[in-house]
Amino acid sequence: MPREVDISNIERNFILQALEQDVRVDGRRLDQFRDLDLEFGLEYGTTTLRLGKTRVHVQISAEVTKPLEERKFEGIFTIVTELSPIASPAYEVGRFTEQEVILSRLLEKAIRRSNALDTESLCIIAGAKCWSIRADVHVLDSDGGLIDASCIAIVAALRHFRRPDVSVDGENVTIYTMAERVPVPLSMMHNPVCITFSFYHDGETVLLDATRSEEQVREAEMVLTVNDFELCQVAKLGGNAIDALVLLKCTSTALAKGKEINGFVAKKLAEDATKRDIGGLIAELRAENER
Amino acid sequence: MALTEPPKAILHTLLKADGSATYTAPKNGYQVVAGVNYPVEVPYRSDEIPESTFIEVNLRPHNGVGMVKERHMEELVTRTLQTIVLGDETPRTMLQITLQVVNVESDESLPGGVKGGGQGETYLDLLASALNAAVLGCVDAGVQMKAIAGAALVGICPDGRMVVGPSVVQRKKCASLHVFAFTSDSQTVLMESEGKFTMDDWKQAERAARSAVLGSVNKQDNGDVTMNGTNITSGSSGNCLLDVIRQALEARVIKGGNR
Amino acid sequence: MPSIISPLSPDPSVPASAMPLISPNALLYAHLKQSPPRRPSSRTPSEPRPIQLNVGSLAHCNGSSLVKIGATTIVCGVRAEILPVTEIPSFRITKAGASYTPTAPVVRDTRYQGDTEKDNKEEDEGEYSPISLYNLVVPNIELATGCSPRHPANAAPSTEAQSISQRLLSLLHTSQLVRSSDLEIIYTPPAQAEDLELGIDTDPQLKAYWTLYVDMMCISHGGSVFDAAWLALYAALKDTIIPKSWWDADLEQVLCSAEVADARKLSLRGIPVPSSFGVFVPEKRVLGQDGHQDPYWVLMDTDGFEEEACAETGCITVDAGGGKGSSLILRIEKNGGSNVGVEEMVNMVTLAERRWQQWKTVLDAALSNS
Repeated sequence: MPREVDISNIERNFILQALEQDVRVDGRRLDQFRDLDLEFGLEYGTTTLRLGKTRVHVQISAEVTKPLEERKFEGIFTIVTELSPIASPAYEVGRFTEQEVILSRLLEKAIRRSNALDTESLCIIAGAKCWSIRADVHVLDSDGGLIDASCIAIVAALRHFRRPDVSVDGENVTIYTMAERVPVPLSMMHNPVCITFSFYHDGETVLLDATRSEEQVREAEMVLTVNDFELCQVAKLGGNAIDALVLLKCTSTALAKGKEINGFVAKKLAEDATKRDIGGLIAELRAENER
Repeated sequence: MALTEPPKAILHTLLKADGSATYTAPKNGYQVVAGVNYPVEVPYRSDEIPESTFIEVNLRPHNGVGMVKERHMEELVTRTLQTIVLGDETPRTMLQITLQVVNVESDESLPGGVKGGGQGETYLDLLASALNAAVLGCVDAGVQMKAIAGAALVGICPDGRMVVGPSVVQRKKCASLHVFAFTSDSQTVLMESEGKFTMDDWKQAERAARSAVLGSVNKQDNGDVTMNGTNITSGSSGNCLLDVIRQALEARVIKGGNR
Repeated sequence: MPSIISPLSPDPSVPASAMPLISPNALLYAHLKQSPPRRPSSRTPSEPRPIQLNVGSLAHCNGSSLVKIGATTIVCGVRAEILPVTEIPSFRITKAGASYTPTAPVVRDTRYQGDTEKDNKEEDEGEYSPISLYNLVVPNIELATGCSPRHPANAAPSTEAQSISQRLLSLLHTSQLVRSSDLEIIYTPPAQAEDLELGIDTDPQLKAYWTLYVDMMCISHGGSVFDAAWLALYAALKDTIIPKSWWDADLEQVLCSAEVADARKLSLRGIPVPSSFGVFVPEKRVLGQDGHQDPYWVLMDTDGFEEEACAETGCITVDAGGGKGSSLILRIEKNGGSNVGVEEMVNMVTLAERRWQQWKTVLDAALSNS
């Protein structure tokens, strides 16, 4: 079984010594994110996010199904992350690494449990029919920052996705196809963003958005999830002890970064919307010519 | 047969995998990313082949998890690669190919509330793209092969018309769908046809697929090949799949790569 | 068991029974290079094995069959269950009897209309037939029964089992074998109940579907399992009877009649018959002096021994019901090698048509006996 290459001592010492002087190997500032790029596919709910060398692809799909017995008035929302060998030879199909488990749990807490997607709006007929929204996260290239990248990508994809329109007439439900009625966006309560903080030198140096090499030499990490105004979740899963005041200072950094990233995502969504509108107009004109 | 929107291929689109490629089907259909790791150790000793390379293919659909349909497609891709990969060069190792579907054509007429690409639907449309992506990934990873293979999807409409690389709407209306894969030395390595058709229909489909993959090839006596219509600047007829692969390889090698 | 050879014996010979285990490739080559070529089972390369069929032997199934081709034995049982439309989450209300047609009407393929009147009246399933949308026919094959040393009992489904499952499902859908109208349970409210003011109309309503679960078990694996499985599936469906059923408006459920005389058979479309083949290519070291040639043999209906020796395999499924010369091809598959091309496939159509005749005779005989 191929394992991931352990970082060499030379690299480790180089990174740590550079950080003592507040210098990062790729020249970024300590609180600077790598280049973030978001691309949307032709189908609604298809997003590819690039964060430096890390690439994450998210696909949202919707299906009508029966709601769970214990939650008759809510729809179903699931997030599936499976790291495959495409991201790195260290990952194997069917075997869950610790990294995968943590990624999956953090995304659960950040997006599902914080009710970013309003599941009550997914109900069609209580106890009988509801929407089941599924987010498939595929990591294509893994170079650190998987949690941050996956969260941003999922939320962007959810905001991009359109589900078929539904009309309820007593017991009869008509689910329209994409061609019959314009599909409807999902109801998002808020937009969470995960920010990972990496700590070095007993908490003296704090980094945002570590690359894989930086991740391998850090002493502790903390994942904060913020939306535009509030803190949604906090996770410090082991690692060295860090002074509490340092952690508190991180929250304000996180809030500022979260707003910046959400602004970027909103801008990209608006660009994609205008691109689709133009397409729609041209298609209309073409239909008139055919007639 | 010239394609209105030819397939697209880009090599080395991923950084961690040994070799990678992104293949987009004609008319902006399926887009498949292939990640190839070669040669790697075989995880289970019982799978190791003493004199050859063990080929493992993982196909992951864009929504949902892979089920029986995906296992069957993986088996077809594996068997096709076994004919062209020179396994004896690296015995006791594994060639690991992961195929991820990243983009599909949206089907506006799909009944609301139903997910497309279910187990009962045809697998031929994705099969051609998956095979092409796998071969491109192997080329980028430097896998030793005795020839390049490429596949094309052909549909026959109820009125007898042949469509190479039909769109999702056209596919639903076709009376039959065919996938043929050929090697660069003109041999047929994969044939998959389903629907209702006659032998004459089938032979025509094979010819259409052959010209879509190999173009019009003239073989000279000394083994050299003269290609017709490989006019990259004009971009008009002659943009067969083999040309697309050749151009992708040139872009990767000549410009020095995108490392 | 090879006997112990004394060192003084000049000519150690290998007993014939050990040959298939030591070098299957050499054994097959030795048989096939004779002229005329013969297989170890003394069949010619284009000769398939005879088919034995028995229908209706399972008492608790709606339909059943047992198919034996050489050493391959498949048992198939069909079970019909009722699926009310209220339990289908994505079901869309349509007028009864019509398939789902959300877009403009599909151009019907008029080249392949059946000869019988019945076929002409029933249309094709259209783009989204209820059978594939709601999984109304569910085939399942179980190979992990200990049917061969490579398929121990109770293991997870092997790649071979999954491939065969998928191919059966594909053929079932593309041949449109089962009519969705056979599976519909429709309720027509009595004319007196019409009340336009209250919005109650007397149009026929689709209340439930029959779902057919087709379960196949491979008792013995002797090669060409796909052929045997499909034929077993076909015969079982042909033997299937569905009880008379109706929707009771007062009880709000489907009721069935227990009278066998009221039950009806399914009217299947066509008779698709598969013919599997394998391509045998002798290894270079076996060819020896003949190494400059590149011989290969196409073997129809490979048995277990031959199947393991052939890397390149395939299958052609035909329906020759329209009379001679107008065979409909339903499925062609070939993978694993590069020897079979267009010409070989064209030759195989004739062999596949012969196989179709063979199956038709067996099927008619078995159905008239049951």
